[in-house]
Amino acid sequence: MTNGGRGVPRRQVAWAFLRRDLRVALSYRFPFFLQVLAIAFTVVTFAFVAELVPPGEVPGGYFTFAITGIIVASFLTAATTTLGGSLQEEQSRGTLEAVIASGVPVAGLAIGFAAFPIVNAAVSSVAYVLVAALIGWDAVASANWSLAGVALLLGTISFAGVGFVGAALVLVFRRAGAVTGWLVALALFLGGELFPLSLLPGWLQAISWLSPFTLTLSLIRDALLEQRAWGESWGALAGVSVAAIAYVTLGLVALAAGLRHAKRVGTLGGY
Amino acid sequence: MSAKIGPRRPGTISITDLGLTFRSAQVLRGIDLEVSSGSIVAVLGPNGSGKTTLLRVLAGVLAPRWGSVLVCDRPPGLGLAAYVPAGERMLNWRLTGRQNLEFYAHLAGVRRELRGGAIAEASGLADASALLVKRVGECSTGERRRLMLATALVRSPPVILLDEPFADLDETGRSAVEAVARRWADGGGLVLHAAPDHGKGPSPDRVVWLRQGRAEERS
Repeated sequence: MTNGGRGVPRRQVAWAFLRRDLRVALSYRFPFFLQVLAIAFTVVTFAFVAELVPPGEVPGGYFTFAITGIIVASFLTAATTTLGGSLQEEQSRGTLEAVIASGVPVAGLAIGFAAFPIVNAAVSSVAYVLVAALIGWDAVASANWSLAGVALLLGTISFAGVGFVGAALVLVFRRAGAVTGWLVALALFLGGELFPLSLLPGWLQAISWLSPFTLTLSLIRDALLEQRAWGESWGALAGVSVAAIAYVTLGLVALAAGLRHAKRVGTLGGY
Repeated sequence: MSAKIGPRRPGTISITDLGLTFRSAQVLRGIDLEVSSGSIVAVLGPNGSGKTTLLRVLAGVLAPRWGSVLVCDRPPGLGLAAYVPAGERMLNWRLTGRQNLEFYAHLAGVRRELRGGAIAEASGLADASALLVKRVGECSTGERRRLMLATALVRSPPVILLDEPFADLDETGRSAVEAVARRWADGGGLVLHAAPDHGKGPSPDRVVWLRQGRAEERS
């Protein structure tokens, strides 16, 4: 009737985690409501801030520029800090050992842990766009949405890779969430979430291009705010693709090593 | 289509010269154990003798320092052994019994059309049918223990590892565990449980005593 977790397709493992985590999230109705409220406040705040920035200072106008940064940042946060937090929660509930004993392989586990935070970020993004539209934001009609979508997908894969490294750190050092949180803050600063990269000193700009957040956000802004065509974006797209492969490979290797370490020292169920 | 839960293949355990240390403390030393299918084995011993550690090694959540461990001729941690730990930390307390069972059945690859039947049968065997609609956080300790057993059964594992199987259970619960263990052994599976003393788990066919990490067999 079953073949154990080992032979179960990864999409089935991802679906199992997604459904369970969605049920848990919906069982906390108040935080869910607060999340929607926080999105509304953020959008309205940046609508006012945008009034202070003269048109033409940033491509597409400051409001669109900032909302794009905030949406991509929500994917980065979901795939990194939220993922590490989920793993830590799983440890404290004692469900991590049960899941590992079910024979779910590392890649399945990684996809499973990342599934809900990423879907949640996608739903939040739609909420950002809807709230922005409600207060009169005219979504860029001529934007290259397909290129932006592909860039976001590849970027999220990179972010998940960073998240897997963070999860590995949680397995080895327990309370490693602060490290991931600090890395995210650095990536948001260097990536120009809320201001153009050109404001940073040259040497910081050079360092910032090592971050998958910078690569992804830059390509998405090019596609949405400057209507960049596919033909003009192959170089940037190749960069984001290479980053996705490199970061996710590094993340999976790190997560496998973290699990091996936790099994060796007996801290899989510890917190 | 109706589900029929039970060991999906013969359950065996083979342990050779198993040793394990935590920092400088040696928890298990030179354990050899061969268990064939159709058995109920009790691992008994005082607190701190290494019983839980042995079960966690067999479940694949703890790696041995040396020696070899095989569950159904494969390394542990491939989903061939279902592990029910002592205490209550295994289920998600925000979810109902059914939702927890669905999660583990899903992870184990129980086919969608069989999942409902498997959950009904597993919860029936563990005397937990009435708990399927109840949120785990609202269950008593004994009720959670029953649901934990059902969670193990729903995956039809060849080997079931039970830590302190009678703890927190009333007489009905203990009878359910006893019946499940016998049914699993009769079906070609293997049940290995750990308890501090006789009478704290289903009647065994074999008893292994652990003392300071060393195993000795007694009838």
